[in-house]
Amino acid sequence: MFVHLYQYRLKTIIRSKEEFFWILLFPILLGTFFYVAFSNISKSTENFSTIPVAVALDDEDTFFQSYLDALSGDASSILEITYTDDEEAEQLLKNEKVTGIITSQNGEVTLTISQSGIYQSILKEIVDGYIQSYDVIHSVDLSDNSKLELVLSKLSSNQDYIRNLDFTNGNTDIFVDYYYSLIAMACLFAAFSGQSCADGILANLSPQGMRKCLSPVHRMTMILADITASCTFPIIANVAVIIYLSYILKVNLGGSMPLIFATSVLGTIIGVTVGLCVGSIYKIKKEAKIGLLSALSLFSSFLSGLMVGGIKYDIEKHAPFINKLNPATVITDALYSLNIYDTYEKYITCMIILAVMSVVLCMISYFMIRREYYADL
Amino acid sequence: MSKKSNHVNSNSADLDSKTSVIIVENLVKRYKELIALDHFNLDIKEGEIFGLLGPNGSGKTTTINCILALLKYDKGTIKVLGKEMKPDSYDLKRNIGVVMQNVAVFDELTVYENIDYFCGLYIKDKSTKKQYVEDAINFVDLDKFRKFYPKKLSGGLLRRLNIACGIVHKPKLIFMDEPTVAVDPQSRNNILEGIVKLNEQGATIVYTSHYMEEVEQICTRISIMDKGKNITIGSAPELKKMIKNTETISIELLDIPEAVLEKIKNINHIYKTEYIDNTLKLYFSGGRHNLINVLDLLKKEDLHFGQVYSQLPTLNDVFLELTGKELRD
Repeated sequence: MFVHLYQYRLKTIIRSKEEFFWILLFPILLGTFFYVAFSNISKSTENFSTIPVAVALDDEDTFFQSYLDALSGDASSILEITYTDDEEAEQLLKNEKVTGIITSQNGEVTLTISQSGIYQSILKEIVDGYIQSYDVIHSVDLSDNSKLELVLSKLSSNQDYIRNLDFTNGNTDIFVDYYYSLIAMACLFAAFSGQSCADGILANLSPQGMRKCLSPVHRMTMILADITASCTFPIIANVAVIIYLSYILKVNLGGSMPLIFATSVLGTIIGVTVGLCVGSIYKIKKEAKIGLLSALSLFSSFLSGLMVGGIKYDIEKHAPFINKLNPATVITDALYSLNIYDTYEKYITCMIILAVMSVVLCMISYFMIRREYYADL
Repeated sequence: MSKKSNHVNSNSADLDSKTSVIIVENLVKRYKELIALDHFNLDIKEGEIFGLLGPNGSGKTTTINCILALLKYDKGTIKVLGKEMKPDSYDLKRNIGVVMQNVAVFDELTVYENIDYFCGLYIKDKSTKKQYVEDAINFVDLDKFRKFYPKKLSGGLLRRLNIACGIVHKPKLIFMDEPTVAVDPQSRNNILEGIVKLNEQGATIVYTSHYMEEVEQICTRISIMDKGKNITIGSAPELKKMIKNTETISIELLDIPEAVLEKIKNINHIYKTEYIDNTLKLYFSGGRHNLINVLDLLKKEDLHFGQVYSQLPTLNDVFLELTGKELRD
């Protein structure tokens, strides 16, 4: 009997256009959209790394030339320098071939720009940084060893400030958080499957539910079969979404794949049980329930950073309990910790929170759908 | 149609000797302040097509839902097939089929799959199940549509699918709650013929409707319900005998002199006359050849008249006389 119920429930979910779209297609489409959008941002970031600049120096300022050379000439360089004279530099700036002109005459360094923008700001920072360092070096008596140490420590601390620190073996790309929120959203969209499951089990919600209640199938068998089938499709769909992101779009989600799948399975169970709880409320119309579940899933995902990156860190500062109660945030935290931390402490904590949420929601939904008598139909 | 009438008459005969399939005693069901069923009683015998007739809101569906142990009730006892009906009476449920007012099929499953699904809830053996599904498809004549999805079916075909899903496991007792709502006349006749066929195959049927013609056409006995009460029970002829009216004659007349009207009123067995919108209505209680007597008088008085109708009382007349309101109000 279980197999009969399970097979047919699975068929109805897979063939339901709405459930198929929201649970499988929508996350894939959104993932593809993220991929395209973030790729474009990355490309513009790559162009951002080299700023064309014209430099006109007097022959004596070798110190400044060395400084500029350090900022150009290799793969990680910031500046693309054209050494020229004042007139040609002005022509290049006029033709927008360069972002600015840096000149140095008699030790005085000046920057000329024709418009404002990020590139121009960076040039200004570079020139200001040089001038400050130059002033420090020239304002102290370098013959005094103690002051020389001070200058060196000052310069070396600047060096520390810009050093690239690798604190993890994971993917530190800031955009990966969006994909975690996307996976969390896909998990919570399993609520649609839970809602339709409740609809088909309860006699007061649908004629199909009523017909099933009148059959000689034991209530528990029916509930278990339907819920199992309602979890199966979203779990498979979410695994498909993760595979699509990782292996087709080549998004580096970080962490071990089986643990990412395990996180999505628990997340999906939470989604289904939320759907069961909302779906079994008698006095709300089906359309309103679907609207409510959409809003809940999207709002929960929004708070985890689906639309505004870093929002969960702001919430952590001001109202951390929201992050602990929001399943989407817990899912993204679990995935993030898998990616970033070398230990599983944080991940296990997240999984325990998700497991507790699942158990509590399962119990609530069981009490809501187990009823056999109805006060009204 | 004559075949159906014979069927009805033959079944209404020896009821007392038959076993009770459903016994409802003093059933009370309240929805907060509203009393939906008010000390309702029912005794349905094996082999009957029992009609529950009443206007919308009279308590027909509530009665069925209480009998099926879906609804909690406040008072009373219900026995189905000799046992108390509870939500976990799985053995009883095996013998019960339900055809609901709302079509209860899955849009995502084909006609065949829907019937197979609901059959599978009752029948475990695969070959028996397959045979039963084929029987049900043939019974409702949906063979050509077995691979169709419900959304591709017309209203009539959908109702037939709904019936097939309810009766596929060949139950002894079938509840049919307004199965012909929003169905075209041809499909309605097919459905009614099917119900009679099921009854002939041995099923007891509880049929609710607010279409009195249907109930009159197929039911062996009828319970007339109003405001959650059982007003009366009997076969259609028995119910009609309960009321004063036996015939109503309507005559189109442009005008009628007072003197002639007085003479008409004196015709035997007339107990009431009405002259509204150029139509004279004469109500008879008993008597034979009433129409001939009326026409003879009109001819004698040299009155020119238009169309003439003679109507036998309907269940609506029964309802009207017993409750003071129309069945379709």
